Amino acid sequence: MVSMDIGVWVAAILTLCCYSILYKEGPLYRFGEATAIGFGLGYTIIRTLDSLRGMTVLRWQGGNFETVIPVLLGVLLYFRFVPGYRWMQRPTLAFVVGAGMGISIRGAMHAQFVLQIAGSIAKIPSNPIDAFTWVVTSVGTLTVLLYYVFAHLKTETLDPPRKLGRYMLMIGLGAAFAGGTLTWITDIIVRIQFLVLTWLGL
Amino acid sequence: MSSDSLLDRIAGIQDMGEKWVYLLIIIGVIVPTLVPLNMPVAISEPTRAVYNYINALEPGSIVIFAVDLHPVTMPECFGAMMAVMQHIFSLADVRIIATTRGTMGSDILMMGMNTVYGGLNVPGKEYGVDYIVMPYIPGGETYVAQLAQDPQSMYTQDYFYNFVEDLPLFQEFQNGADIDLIVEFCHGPQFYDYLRHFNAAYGTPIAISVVAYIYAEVMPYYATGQFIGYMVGLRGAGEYEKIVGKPGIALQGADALSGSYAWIIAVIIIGNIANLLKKTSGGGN
Repeated sequence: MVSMDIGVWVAAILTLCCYSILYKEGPLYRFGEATAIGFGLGYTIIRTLDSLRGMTVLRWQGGNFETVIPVLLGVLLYFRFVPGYRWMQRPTLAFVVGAGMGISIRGAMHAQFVLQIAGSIAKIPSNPIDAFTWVVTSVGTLTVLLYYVFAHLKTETLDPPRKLGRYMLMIGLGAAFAGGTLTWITDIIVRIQFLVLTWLGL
Repeated sequence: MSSDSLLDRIAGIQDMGEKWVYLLIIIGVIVPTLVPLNMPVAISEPTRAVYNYINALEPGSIVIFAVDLHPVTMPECFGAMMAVMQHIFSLADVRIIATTRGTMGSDILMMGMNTVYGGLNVPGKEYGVDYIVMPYIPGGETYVAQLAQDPQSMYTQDYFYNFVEDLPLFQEFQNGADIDLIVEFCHGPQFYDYLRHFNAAYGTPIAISVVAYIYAEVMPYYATGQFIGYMVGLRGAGEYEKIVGKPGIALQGADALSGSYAWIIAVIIIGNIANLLKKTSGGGN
């Protein structure tokens, strides 16, 4: 039975508007696209303001003023729109970039370099299938590194492993593209399920 | 009909408009949706590893439920989110702190809770003691870093505007060492933040449900044990629904997934044959 929920009907109509691009671009698609972008942006603004309220107004009312300086730094960012005073945003940008980099690097060295390198050179598994996987992974890692890092070394000896590295890279990118296809197909499936099962009630 | 004419027709498929390809794929999705084939779903090892780890959690454990989803990529991980949520809530005295680093994460979580429990009516569980939902705070990685080091300084209220002083569960969360498991649902490389600030700093185990297009990035961290398991896309969500015995939207879409992929493989094969035929006859790309 067809759904009588107004929200379901709105969602179904907007879905069909967006899918009209499969036939050709027109006012329906542009309406659906603009609605999606507008609602998304508006929602993000409201949620961010709500979060800001919790970090500023509520704390200041309780006598906690530790967020005053970050708020002032944030206000300085808006001087990018004032000709002649754009330099005032630099301290904030420097703080954001510096703090962000410091915070990322601290954990990245251990989690994404040390542990991954250790995992790559771990002892060969006894299981034949795992051992084959270990060999392929190790050869692939070394040859791809050779292709990228040592690309400037012009020696014929390194050409065959570099070529193998390029093929390994293509296989990896192909697998990543296949994953992307799976994501897109899933989006279609869930939307079709919504239209067929939830909206039309078939 | 001569064989040359047949080969010409096959080669001509290349010139078929893409609209027909879209139509074929949509048919490949609609038919299994309307007529379920109930094809068997095999459980992969990484998904079973997540299930086994959650099952073995001791009473009193605290789990961070990091719902870092967006409506665009929600379809893939939503089923997994609901299945894992139901699994954890079925365990005795395992508690959930739901967080998000995306604007809509908490709302997506509430969509799931409204679907399964009609809101906060989780049987046998009390809000504030057994589970809490925290609101969005901007900051990305800096948010996660602070969540790991000093969550008490970040929040004043929860998602429902209750003050955190009134939430006993939140008072137990002083830093990452107090967390026994993170289950993250993400649509991009957000998992690196939890890897860097929870797993690297405190050794907190992480289970993850990701969209399929970053599946290849997750595998190396599972191989080294930094992730205790993972669920990939709609397929992984369907596997988890099957293990916990709570069939939902993911298992419903499994047949459609197989059907659409069969169409895509057929289209790829036919398209390549057509291209080859056209090349040999002097045209084509």
